[in-house]
Amino acid sequence: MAEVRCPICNQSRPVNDLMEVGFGVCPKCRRESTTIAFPALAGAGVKPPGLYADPPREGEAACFYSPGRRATKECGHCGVLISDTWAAQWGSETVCLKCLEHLRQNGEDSRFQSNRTLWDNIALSLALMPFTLILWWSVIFAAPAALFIAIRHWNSPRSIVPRGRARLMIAIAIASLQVCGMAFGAAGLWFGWFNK
Amino acid sequence: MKKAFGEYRLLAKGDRRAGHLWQGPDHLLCVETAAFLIGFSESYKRIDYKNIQAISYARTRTGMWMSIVMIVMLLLLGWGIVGQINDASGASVVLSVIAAPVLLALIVHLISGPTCICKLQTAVQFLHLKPIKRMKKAVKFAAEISPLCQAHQGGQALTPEALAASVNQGSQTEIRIKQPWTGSNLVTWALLLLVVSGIVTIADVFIRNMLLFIIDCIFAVTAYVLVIAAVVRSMRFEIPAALKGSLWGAIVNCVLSVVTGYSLVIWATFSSIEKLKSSANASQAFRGDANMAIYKTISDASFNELGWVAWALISIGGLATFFGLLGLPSALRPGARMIDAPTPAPPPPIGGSQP
Repeated sequence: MAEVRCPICNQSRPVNDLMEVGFGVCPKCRRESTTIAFPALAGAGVKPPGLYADPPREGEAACFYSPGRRATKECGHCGVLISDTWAAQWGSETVCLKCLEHLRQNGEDSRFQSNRTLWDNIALSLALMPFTLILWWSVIFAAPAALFIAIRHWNSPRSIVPRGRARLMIAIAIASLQVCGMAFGAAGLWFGWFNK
Repeated sequence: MKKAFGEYRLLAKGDRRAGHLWQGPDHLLCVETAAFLIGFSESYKRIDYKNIQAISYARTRTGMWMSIVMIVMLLLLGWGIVGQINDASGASVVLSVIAAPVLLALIVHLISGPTCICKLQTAVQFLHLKPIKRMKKAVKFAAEISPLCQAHQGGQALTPEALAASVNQGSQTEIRIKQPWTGSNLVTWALLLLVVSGIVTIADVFIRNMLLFIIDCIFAVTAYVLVIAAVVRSMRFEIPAALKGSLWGAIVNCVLSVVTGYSLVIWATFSSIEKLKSSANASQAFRGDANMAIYKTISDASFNELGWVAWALISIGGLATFFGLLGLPSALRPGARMIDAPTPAPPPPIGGSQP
């Protein structure tokens, strides 16, 4: 039976509980919610078709990874001939599962990436950390760390959503001032500039 | 922020922690941000329009509570402003400066409309769309995404009758709300450090020692930074109730510690000013070790001198130890209660009859 879930308490309920305009009251939390159902819900619960044997006939190419299966596609990245079992679809491209794994792990294609570290934000937060009253002492290691991270990750990919280098620039500017201030203070103490 | 890039168009934008939603050519891109005040990493989820089964949204009570809190704050501040209007100390001006952003936030909140929760259902997940927090936005999002889903699924949105007629014989695929808890070294270390930090805090109240005070500060700051990181990490998983309670309790304890710490610093500042003023060479003393005098005042303060702050520190230390010990068993034995499900049957071998 196709089911929808309550967005508040996650309780599942049969779709025929839905009223005509998609409103429904959850039997568990008694809260009203709106649900828009799509044709994919009608197919929920149908088991996908099982894999059938498909050995290559004489003169036909065999799958590179499963030689007992007929090759039907070509990997768009490495070019090997693959069967349906080893093929994955991404947009308009067909790739083999090995290439898919490789692309995901190495982050070679932004469409396959599942996460990215925001180094610009990390550098900026390190640069700003000493300005908090309680962590002012962290300037000793936070400023050089912010400077290092900002320079080291100047060309690193930031986010798949476009964003500029403004955060990195601000982090470098603040951290540089902090490092210069510390150097000036240390030199002053060493050479006795502050002694009257 | 850009409204479009490449083949993507911005559908909804949340605050820095909620992330954003982008409309792609054949999929919906959900950008989620792991953050504490500022985002540290982003994770991306791509949901094909052809796999979206349903979009559900419901009004929540968060908006009502936000309105109540802000109205109460404004009433209290207004009472203070009216009471101090003829006072020459300028208290009414200070209170007005505090009240102005609260009033602005209330107006923006009321204009934005009621709050909501919006979720998207596929065969294997029930995804919370965090950027969508207002009913207006949810309705607009649903109106924009519905035609795309219908176009990719080759049909109109289902009527309840059509859905009711589509009773399937096969078993429903289990929908996973969150990933099961698999344990984390970060959480374990955070809780261990929390226990140690709590014990050191209690010891620091009774033992007058500068070194112990510094160790206490370092332990406390490190423990709470790790706890915040642990909370951010654990949000991705379905964690045991004890662990959840201990982590969130530790966060509340962290806020209490900060408040108590500030109170302690303020008390020590006034106390050391009095001491320095009464010393023989006050101007020299002020120029030199004012900060050191504050720390020394705190570390050398006896139980009686600290007064209620001593009891607050003992409570905070005790709570930190309690929360650490509460969560440690769940963190050390990851998901012991959750992996009770029977082992699934092995998949059938590849190969069979031609359909």
